[in-house]
Amino acid sequence: MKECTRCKTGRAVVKRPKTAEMMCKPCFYHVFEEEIHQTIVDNKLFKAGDRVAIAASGGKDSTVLAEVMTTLNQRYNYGLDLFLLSVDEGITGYRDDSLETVKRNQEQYKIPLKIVSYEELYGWTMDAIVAKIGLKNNCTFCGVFRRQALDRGAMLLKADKIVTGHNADDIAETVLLNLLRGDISRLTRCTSITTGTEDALPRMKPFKYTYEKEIVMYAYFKKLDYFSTECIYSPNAYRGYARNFLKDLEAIRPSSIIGENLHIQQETLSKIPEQGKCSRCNYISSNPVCKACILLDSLNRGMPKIEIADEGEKVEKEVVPTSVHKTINF
Amino acid sequence: MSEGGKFEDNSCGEVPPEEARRQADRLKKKISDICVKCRTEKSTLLFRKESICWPCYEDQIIRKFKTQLNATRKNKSQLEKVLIAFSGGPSSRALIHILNECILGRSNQASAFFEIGGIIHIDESGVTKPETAEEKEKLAQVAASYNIPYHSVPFGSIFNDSENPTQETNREKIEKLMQGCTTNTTREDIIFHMRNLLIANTARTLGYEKVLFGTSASRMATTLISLVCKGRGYNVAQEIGNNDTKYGDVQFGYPMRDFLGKEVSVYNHHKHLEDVFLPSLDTKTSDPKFSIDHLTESFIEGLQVDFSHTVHTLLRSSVKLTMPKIDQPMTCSICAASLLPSTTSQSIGGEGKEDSCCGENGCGGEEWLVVVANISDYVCGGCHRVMNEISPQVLPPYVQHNADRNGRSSRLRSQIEDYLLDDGE
Ligand SMILES: [Zn+2]
Ligand SMILES: [Zn+2]
Ligand SMILES: [Zn+2]
Ligand SMILES: [Zn+2]
Repeated sequence: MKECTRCKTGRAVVKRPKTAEMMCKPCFYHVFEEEIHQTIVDNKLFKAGDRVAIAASGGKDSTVLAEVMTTLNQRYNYGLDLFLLSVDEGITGYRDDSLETVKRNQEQYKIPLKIVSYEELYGWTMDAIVAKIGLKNNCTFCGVFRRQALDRGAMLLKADKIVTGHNADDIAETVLLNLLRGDISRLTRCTSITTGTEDALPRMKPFKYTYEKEIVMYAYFKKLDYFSTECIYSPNAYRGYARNFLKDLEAIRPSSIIGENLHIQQETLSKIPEQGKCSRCNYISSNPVCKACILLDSLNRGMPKIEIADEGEKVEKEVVPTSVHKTINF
Repeated sequence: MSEGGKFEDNSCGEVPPEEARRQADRLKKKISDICVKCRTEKSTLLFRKESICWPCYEDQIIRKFKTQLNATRKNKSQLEKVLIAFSGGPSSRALIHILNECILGRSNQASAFFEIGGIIHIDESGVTKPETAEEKEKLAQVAASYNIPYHSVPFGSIFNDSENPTQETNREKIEKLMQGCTTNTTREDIIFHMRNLLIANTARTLGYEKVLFGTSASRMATTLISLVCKGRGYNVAQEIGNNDTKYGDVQFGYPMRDFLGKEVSVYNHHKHLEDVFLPSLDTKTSDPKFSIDHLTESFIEGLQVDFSHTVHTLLRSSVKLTMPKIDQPMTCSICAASLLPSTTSQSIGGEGKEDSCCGENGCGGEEWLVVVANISDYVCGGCHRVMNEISPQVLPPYVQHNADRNGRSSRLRSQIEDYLLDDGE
């Protein structure tokens, strides 16, 4: 029997990918959760009384996120008002099942669940979008819409912050993709542990230093209920290349890319346009009209029956003025 | 979940790639045999999607070269005497020719600002298979054909230590260094940094303030990604930026940074410039996961085939990455990169618990643990990873000297810390 290197009594059942330590189950849970707690404390991610939306997709990251957030909130009396927030993209067979998982999570963790759908926010389901434009650029739509949908949903529910399950591997992938597409402003945003602190809802990434493999191990040993299918519309050439590369990279040297180790030129940063508001939907945008509205416009142009202005105004009225949600980080 | 967005983001008004290709094809058919630049000569080559004639191709190369060369100038009023780093490869071979040509006549400007003082080559015999007499002769011949002084510096001189001379030959030490690394990634990594250090030191000894490298755009792009992957993201600007300050008074410049590898090949072919092929560590491997450098190279090459803007986009990204301004930074004991103040190597790398030994069995006793602790305290994030994959006793003596010096200055600093005025942000 291999002995746990931490407690010296338990039977080691895992070799931590992060440190190569042999550990028993309880010790693994403990260090896994404690590291995340430490990240939360060190980076002052929350304050007592915060209303926090847990971005819940039903996938492993967000399921583990819900588990760890509720656990730590109780263990350390964070005093957070937690709820699950899901986005229904309207992809038959994909979201239907994953939303079932999220609904079970809601019962398990006894925290409320709110689902916002693309259909109610934008007037389009992803299925309808794909039917319209084919599989070519659907991930652009999905990505842009999802980013806003979370914010809009969270604002509707008067959340102060959003937590997402982005882990170290996700961040590595995003770093790589942003370097490859020369997107420096997003490169800065994707590596910081909190984003959107100005006008948008702050987004927290407590898993920033957590390895994906450990999240999988945690979910596996805890027998967490999660849904594990890639988005059926997801595969795209560039991201595929990047993922394979990162996988091989990890085989050579475990978790090589750490998002934080980049420094962006100051002048470049100041050149990034100031975040204003979209004139159509009032959502935070660096351009007069936000990306979602531009995409919607291009979608709707082919379908004269749906008027973009109406949709925009409708959404605008629903969105709570963002200034109310300005949160001061301590 | 992933943070949305994807590469082929055509929504922002850019022309979709297929459309661009179709336009280019149409264009090509229309003027297929006349050069689009001069509109008189017959076009024989394709340069950045334009069919042009050889004289116009050469013109483009020289023009782009001069732009990059100018960007390396620090003191705009002075004549700079430069040393050219020559690996034997096509790109540095082309650099020698183009720079020489610029100075000799094609451009009054270049001759007013630059003077070639010498060519330096690092002889890596021992790291890879020893250079043959024929190869040595060929390398020296290149310099001789331009009447430029040639310095071949053996890689082993990185071990030179005037204070403690040893019985072992430098060749034996190189062998031990290579054996002391547990991964090819670390082998390549330290060779890269030690080679650069040797070049900088030699340049300083010979009285140069600038060394020009033949690094191509393709190589630059690969280096950017592999640096980031090796935990050296903070130092990208120091490693591949123009106007870097990594080696203090000796500046490295990269005037070939705009050219793709194949563009250099075309140039060399037309000019009958022969390079000298010298094998590198990964020359013979068939393992795609041989090392991070090797993997990254095939990754970028593959992308470039399918997405022809890959390399140049990466270059644009790289120039936006800078070193944070640090007042009197300590430098990494191994690679000379600036260390970030207030962050130990651990937090630079962002990884916890690396301080303990490598965790592999048989990695030695306490004696060298003391040495590890010492050096590891004064290395950058990237070299911190190197330390996990090398036996410290095989490192050249300069590393320990640097660590000792860093240790002394940080002890001194901590003694006077309370009296130092913080003029930082
Ligand atoms: Zn244990
Ligand atoms: Zn909008
Ligand atoms: Zn021409
Ligand atoms: Zn270093």
